[in-house]
Amino acid sequence: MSNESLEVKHLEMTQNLESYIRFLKSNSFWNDEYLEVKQSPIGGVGVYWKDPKTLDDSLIETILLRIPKSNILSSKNSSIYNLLVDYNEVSDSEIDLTRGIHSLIICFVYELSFGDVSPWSDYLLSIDPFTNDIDTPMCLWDENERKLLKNTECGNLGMLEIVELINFFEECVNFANQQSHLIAIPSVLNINLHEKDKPDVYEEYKKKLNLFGKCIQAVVSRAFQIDDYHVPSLVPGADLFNHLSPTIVNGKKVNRENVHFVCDGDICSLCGEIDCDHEEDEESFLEDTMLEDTQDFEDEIDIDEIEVSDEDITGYSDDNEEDEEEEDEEEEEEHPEEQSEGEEDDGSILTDVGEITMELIQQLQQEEEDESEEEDEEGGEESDTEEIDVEELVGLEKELQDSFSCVDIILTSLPQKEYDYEVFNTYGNELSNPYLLQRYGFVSETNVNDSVQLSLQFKSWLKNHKAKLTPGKVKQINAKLNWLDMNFDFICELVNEITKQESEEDDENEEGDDEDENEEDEQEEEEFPESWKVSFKVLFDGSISLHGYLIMKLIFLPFIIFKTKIIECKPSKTPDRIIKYLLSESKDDKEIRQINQSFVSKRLKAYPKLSQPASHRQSIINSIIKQEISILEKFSAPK
Amino acid sequence: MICTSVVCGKETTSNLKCPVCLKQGIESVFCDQTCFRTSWSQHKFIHPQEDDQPYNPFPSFNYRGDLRPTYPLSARRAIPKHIKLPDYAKDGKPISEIKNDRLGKIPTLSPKEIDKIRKVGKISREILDIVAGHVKPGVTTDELDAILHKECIKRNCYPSPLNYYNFPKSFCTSINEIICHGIPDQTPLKDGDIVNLDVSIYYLGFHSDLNETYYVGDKAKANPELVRLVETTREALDLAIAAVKPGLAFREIGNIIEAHATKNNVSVVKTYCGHGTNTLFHCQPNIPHYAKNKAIGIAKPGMVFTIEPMLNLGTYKDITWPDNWTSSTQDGKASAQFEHMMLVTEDGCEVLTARTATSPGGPVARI
Repeated sequence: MSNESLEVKHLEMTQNLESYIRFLKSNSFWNDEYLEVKQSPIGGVGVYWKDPKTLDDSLIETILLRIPKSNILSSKNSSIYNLLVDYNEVSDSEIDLTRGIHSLIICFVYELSFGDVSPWSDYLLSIDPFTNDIDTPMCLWDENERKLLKNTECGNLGMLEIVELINFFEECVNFANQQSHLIAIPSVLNINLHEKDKPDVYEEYKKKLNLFGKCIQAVVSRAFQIDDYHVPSLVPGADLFNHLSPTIVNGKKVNRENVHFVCDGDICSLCGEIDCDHEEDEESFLEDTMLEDTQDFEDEIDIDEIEVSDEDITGYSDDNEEDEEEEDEEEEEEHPEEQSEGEEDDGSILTDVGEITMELIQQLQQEEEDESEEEDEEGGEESDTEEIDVEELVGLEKELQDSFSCVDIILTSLPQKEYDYEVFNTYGNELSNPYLLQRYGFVSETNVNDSVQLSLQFKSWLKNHKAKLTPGKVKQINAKLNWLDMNFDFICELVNEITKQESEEDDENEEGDDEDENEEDEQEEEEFPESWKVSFKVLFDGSISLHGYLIMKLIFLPFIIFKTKIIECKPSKTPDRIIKYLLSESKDDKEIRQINQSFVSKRLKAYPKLSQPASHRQSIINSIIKQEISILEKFSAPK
Repeated sequence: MICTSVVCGKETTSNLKCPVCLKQGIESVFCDQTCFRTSWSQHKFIHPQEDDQPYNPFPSFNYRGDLRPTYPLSARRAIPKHIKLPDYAKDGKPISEIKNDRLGKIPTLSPKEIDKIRKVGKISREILDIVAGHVKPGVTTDELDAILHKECIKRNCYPSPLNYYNFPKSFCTSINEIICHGIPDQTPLKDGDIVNLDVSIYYLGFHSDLNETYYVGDKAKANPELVRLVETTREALDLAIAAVKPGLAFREIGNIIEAHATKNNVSVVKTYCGHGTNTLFHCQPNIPHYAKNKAIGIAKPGMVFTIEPMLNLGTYKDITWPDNWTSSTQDGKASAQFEHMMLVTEDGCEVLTARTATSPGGPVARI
């Protein structure tokens, strides 16, 4: 139990709980019939089920929180949004302060600086980053701490890079300066950038940058994706729920959160409304730009220009004639076009220019009377009083009636005694420890999403490998990797499909208890690795990622096979060919495994010696390193 | 001829006329039967009852005060061809407004545009003053509408409310418990009423928007409750205007208004807000009049918007009549409103619809 509790992240909110709850009561529906917010024995607060005796399966899908989108703190709801829009029109910076997390962070900084005057002040009191114990992003940690993380996934994933944060900070400072005739500059952004070379200004600069880092962390750790208009946002109430990571039961990942977000995300990204005329324009605009993009993306290397030597062909006998023939078959199922030729124009009867007769008018009158009678009858039976009530509601009550304009948190599984009936959310069931640390400032003791990249090791191996080859051969490898670059998304989809199939097979062997859950998981958007370069890694169970396996196979695949079987085959065949040549076992595998083992060994050697943790940060660092070592050792362990 | 259907409004050579209207000597032409059918539910309101007596079109509605609509409405007033129409004049759909909605940008006007809207503001004040000069017991709100319409046309202005989301008349007249958006009809004003006249015009490509509440006859001015309500509302608007300058957060305006309302024991309507006005009738910013609101935006020089607080003697809650426009207080107690349109300047604001020395109405002392 005590071990498990380490996986629970308690938001730091020891103060101001009262004002927080007050905010919820006047801005949302907070289900305090069932929920209670209290101090957790571990520190911070959490949401608990008030009375375990009431717990019952029939409560699944109960709304625990409903908050109108107009009451969440998104940049579009913030007072300064119009200034950001105006600023963005003239700024030539790459950082867009009107969108995404950057926008939310600067709005947060301003709303915070408005103090009591901000309509979110009661809520913001609970997350004052300047008084509470909020850590900065890793890239602002002390040098020796960053050094320890350099060779971990945090370093590999670029989380120690400080440049982006500095650019963002200075962009915010610029914005604040330009608006200073309208709004006072928030203290954290009040610094003279032109004089930051002066020692005392530089000290001040470092101090403010650090405070700004805390603001970033405070926002990032609480931000939720709401919908296309309000992403990302701070959702009062939602951030009271703590996180519980998935666990592995019988070799299968099982999610453990008790609640889910529900919100109508199908809205216009420009105005946030359901029915509007914006999207049409936007779509056609997107289509246009997408076309242009693909035109730019022509292959840079012409496969046909690369010579193929005999040596490439020998030593690779193949029995693929049969599938050569298959290729001719099938193909092109014509889309049966729907051919409706304007027959819907049934207005022909109505457009006849006759006369408006008194009979028609009487008929219209009669129709109307009938309708209103019907309505009366329908209403009279049940919902009559209710409907009248709806109409008379004003303000918050009325907004809460309209589920489309609200965000809900609903109960999806019952809280457990094991956790003292705390109600958990998940901040992301796919997040590995580096990302948990980056976004939420904590790590899970054992995180099944963790993996260790071998990309750097691969890269330096490849360099050596190429050095031993003829220029022609190098060109071949480059062509292959270029092909990989171009087709990486496609390959990821393929890999995902394979993985899914395998896990489904596994599922079938076990009890089909939680089928529903799996379906839901699949609906979650799959995030592809950014590029093949970072996809080469050891997974939590010690196996090499399929992507990594494929990369090595590709390198060793004779070029002639690559060219004739993969590049020049019909597009419909490509997936099968990739599976056959790049994802299935072959005689090279032993060699590949040896090379991979050398990668693993190199990585293991790069970790620093662990010392007794003297600070919170150090114990986090240790935890990350330990986890990575254990994953790498699982690869080396004899199977 | 132009099709009478409020959702069509196209030119037509059709000879299809409404026979009921013909009997009244009114030529209501429709493109075809479809146009007639689709607009019937609105068109019928200009038809008299068989006994020719004024009537209440929604007899089963639970009215909250003493006021009732008095129908039939007069036929839609014509707009001469030379007057420039806003985009919704034909079919009722302000498409440019809908497209602009909530994009986060609050426009600022150029000096040239400011010259224009200043002119439009002045003319709208002139028109309101002329109409207000006719407020007296016995006059119907439809008669006021006829005067307003004529004054608009005379000045080559389009009366902005006309067919805006199919609003049937040329301006809004809101009596006693009506908060706003009252439709001019055959109701005569009585001694002791208060009436709000809300004028908006479209001219030179810009809209102007203003309103005032007037005491009808002497009885109203002698009613301490009504005077407290009307004068508090007038003052609340003035206090809010005094705060307008670059850097003002629009959400602050509601705090000022509600503070003054609370001090005078009246409540603030939450459902209707002030708004940006320029080439669009209604656009950003959105200006709620109640405290602790979450209005978006910071004022900058060149922005033009309205503040138009609606304060109630009783509850702040509103209910809409079945005409889908008229907004009444839920408890039937009186409601008052004042509205100005202003331009944010470098160091404050300029009220574009300011009263002149000869404007009718104006403050009276509390009793």
